[in-house]
Amino acid sequence: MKKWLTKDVCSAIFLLLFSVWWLWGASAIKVQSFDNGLAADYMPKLLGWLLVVLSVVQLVLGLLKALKGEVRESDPVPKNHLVMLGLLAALVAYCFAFKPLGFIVCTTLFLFGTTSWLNDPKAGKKDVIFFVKQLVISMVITAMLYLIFAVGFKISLPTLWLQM
Amino acid sequence: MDMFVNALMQVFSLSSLPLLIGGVGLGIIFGAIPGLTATMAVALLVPFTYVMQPAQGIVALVGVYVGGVYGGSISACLVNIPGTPASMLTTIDGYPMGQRGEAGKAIGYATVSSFVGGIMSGVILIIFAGQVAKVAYQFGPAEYFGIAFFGLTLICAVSGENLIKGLIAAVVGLMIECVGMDPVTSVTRYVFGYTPLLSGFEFIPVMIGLFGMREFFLQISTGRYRFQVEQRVGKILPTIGELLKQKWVMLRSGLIGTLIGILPGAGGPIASFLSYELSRSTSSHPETFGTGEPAGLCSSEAANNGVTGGAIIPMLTLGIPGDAVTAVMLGAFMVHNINPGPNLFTSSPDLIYAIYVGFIVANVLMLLYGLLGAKLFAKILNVPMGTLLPGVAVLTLIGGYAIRNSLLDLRVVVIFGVLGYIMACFDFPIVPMVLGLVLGSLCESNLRSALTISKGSWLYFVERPISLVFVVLGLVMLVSPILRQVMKSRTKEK
Repeated sequence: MKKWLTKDVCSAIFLLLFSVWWLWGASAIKVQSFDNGLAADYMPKLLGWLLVVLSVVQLVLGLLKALKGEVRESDPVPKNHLVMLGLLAALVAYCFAFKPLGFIVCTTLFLFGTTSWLNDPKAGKKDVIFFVKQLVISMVITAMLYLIFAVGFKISLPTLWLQM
Repeated sequence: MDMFVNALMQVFSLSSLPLLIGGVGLGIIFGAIPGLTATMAVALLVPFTYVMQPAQGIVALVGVYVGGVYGGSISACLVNIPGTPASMLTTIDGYPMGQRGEAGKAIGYATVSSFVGGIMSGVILIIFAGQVAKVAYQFGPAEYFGIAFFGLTLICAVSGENLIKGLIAAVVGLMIECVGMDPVTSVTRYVFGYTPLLSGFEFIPVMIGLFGMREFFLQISTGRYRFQVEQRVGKILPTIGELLKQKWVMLRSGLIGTLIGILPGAGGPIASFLSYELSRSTSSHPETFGTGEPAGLCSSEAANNGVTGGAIIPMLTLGIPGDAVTAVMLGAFMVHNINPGPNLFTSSPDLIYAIYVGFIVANVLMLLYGLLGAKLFAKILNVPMGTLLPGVAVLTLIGGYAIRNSLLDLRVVVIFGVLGYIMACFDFPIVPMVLGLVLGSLCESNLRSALTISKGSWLYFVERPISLVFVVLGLVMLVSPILRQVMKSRTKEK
């Protein structure tokens, strides 16, 4: 990676592009005249230009820092992005399966998958007993959540059998 | 007086008291687990207050807040990891006490000093909130714009060294608030023909994503899911004599915490730091601080729980959050279509008094939980994070969905969780964004109303004294970090 292409510079470039897109969106707002007040596009345009200015300032400061060699490229978030991405995929799948599969099936599967992945067995090996234990834990947590929210708080959670 | 009696009856009713007891307990659990914060607990619970009476729901959240701030001390004393940022200073003396076999006593000191700080802030809340509201009752659109402007400039205070990034985060928060129908003319903005976006992004799912789901991602990516610890807690109570030795430290720190809490944006970590430093510098034996000195532990804990009552004052009287938790708590008011601010004191005095009483009762419950159940809460730390974190993720998703049974909100939670995570990766603070979200609509609608009244004249904002004060204060807030920077560089040059 190029020396000047730091996190601050990357984020400033992205924000600059975003603000341009935002201003394009603001110009598409249908404006109605309003007695002496400000039209509906005033705030979006003001914010868009503010973001342009702030992104440019960040870009300049970021470049100056990089050129002076003052950049401290320590990532505040240690890299464990692979696990993070895996779980994000599981969450996206959960969101899409929530209605068709229903809360109970969907949550049990999600919890079983994630707890089996994240937990390390004491014996050091993930055997059948470990997976059975995770399945039981997932079912118990799901049942507790269902009882608290669907029964206790009367929140309408989708259930597979009610849809059939 | 009648109001107080009614509030007492309401808080102690069979339908409210269990919610408050549960709220304080849940807050302590969230506070005790490193990575799970009081803000996250409140964000997760806000949607469920929808099915409760406003007073029941908001009082339960106050309980979560009080418990959550205290809970941070448990892991700070037991495993040297502050459960919440506010209990960072507690580790300095709490953990060494635990190391020499006095973990129980350390939690006892933390419990009693948190109680003293909390009660002190509660008394100040009850005395002063009404007075502030009386002044604020005279406010019109110009004054409200002034308040919102001042609130937004507090971003400078909460951004630390990253002022530009704080301002960017706030602008993005204001942009998110712009999506949907314009509040004045109902013209659509950034909807792109997608009708579910007509009402904009629902505040609660956004908040749950930014505080709940983002934390989940951060815990996973930092490998915290492998965190597990075994700790034993022995005798809890310090003796009366030992506690009385710390009485002035607790009272002084509680007062400092409350005053810091009233300043929007300052929050628990600053209060703890100031109180700790004051206790150390005025102590006759400052060398013992950092080696398990009870005065250090008490000053940090009394201060951070003192913040709770202080932070509620600007939230109730002006509609400006005192810290991140009260920013999220504003969502609970929105859920019930209640606007916090001076009008609340005349339109819903019963709610105000219920919050007062609930706050005091929550502190008493916290004391009981701490003294009787600390051993049990310490066991929460034994639950594998690999099981706890996915459970919390599901909780955040249900929270997002519950508010209006919308699958869009479920996705909004995940999307804003990812956005919050990316912001953390690029060092962007999250609290300014929340301030932008909370104050964006207040700022825009009052600016436009004021300009309509003044027939387009911007002088209206400086002609009215109260709005002028807030505008000037806001400008001072904006300029002060730049001046500080200039002075710093001049001192360096010399």
